[in-house]
Amino acid sequence: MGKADPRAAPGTPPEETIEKLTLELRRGVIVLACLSQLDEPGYGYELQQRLAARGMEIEQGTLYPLLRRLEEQGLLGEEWIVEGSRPRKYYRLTDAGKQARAELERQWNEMAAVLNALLASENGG
Amino acid sequence: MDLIERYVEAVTAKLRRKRRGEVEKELRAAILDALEARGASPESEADVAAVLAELGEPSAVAAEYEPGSQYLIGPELYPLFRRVVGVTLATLVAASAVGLGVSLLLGGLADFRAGEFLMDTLEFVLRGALVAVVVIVAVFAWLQRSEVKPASRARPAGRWDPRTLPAAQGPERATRSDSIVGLVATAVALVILGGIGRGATEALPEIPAVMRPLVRHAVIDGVMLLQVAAVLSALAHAVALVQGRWRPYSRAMRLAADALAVFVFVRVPVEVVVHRAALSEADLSRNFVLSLVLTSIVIGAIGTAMIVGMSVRAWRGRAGGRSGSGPAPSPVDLAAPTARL
Repeated sequence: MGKADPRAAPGTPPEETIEKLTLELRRGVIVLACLSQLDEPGYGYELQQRLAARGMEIEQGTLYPLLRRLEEQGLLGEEWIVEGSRPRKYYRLTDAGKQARAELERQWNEMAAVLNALLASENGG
Repeated sequence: MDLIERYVEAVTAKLRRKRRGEVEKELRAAILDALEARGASPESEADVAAVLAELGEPSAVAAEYEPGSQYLIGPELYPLFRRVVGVTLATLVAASAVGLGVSLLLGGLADFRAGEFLMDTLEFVLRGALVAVVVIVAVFAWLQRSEVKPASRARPAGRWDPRTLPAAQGPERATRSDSIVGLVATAVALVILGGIGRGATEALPEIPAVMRPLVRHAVIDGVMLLQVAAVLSALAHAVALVQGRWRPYSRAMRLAADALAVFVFVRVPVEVVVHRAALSEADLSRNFVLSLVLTSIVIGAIGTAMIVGMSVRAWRGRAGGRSGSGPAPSPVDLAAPTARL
């Protein structure tokens, strides 16, 4: 809804459009990223740090609601564990989650191969 | 810790009640984890503010928690919606008060019939409020559909200051959807009751003379009392909507409205039974009188059950404000906000 940058060349998408497209691109990938790390139980903050350490930065305000949605979809199981004086919510993949992860991984590999080929041919590779 | 509670409440107040309890626990645990990882103390407001700023604005986080449901007006637009409704209703009441004053000045007190004029003014205000709320809801629903975000969402990351969050209100907070639904429902009830009352008054001369006292007491007086109850209820919901919480006086107004409505519904069969002897002596069939008695008992029982049920539900909502159980999602919760990464 923002105004286009007047300095931008004609036809250049405004910064906001690129940002929106990038978010859409990442939106699907983030689910697979989370599922890939939850074979072993992990809690929200720990998972965020684990993903960040591997180059996948996800805002906490996005990650926690996403974990909850995956739990509601039956892909993650949850358990509150009291450590020290306070409880933490641990998530781990359910059988349905493992199945979904395997399928998403297969789809990702196929799409990545196709897209890499498309981009390589477009760039004259 | 107070800032954490204010933040948690600011997020969960925008969610459906059935989600709140669990999300509250999750958020507290997440915030404490983030503080612990920084080696920071939950007692340090500056440290907590830094963690909360990273977590994101409450309306945006709440929107992430509700992507499966469809909002008519989502959490991001709702604060602005509430302000617009508040200003519009206040303007409407102020304009009516000015109109009342001008009429008094121009017409003088001699011909002034206070009761009639007040009822007309009240009807004007409530009709106006109903139309205004419907129009505002339609405009905001269009904005929601068009994915328009309020100006605060355009702020650069990190510029939001959690210390500006309002004080936590606990279980006394008013559920936005309940307030809007309550306001609209009572305004609609008032318009319908107005029609019934006028119809009964106009039809009175054509009704058999023996039934007129019954119609006057059970229907016309009953409708008038229900109108008073509806006005009280609408006022209570409007106050709660604008203030964002139920205060003792708005709660008392709502309880008084419920009590008055229950009184009316209990009174209906009582009036019929009281007048039964006169009806039986008149030229009315026994079956007609019997069906009148039964109908009045059914109407009285259904009305009483409805009012008591709604009252108990509202009370439970208050008592269980932090537990996560409560009423079903309101009509406002009909569309999905956009997710963000």
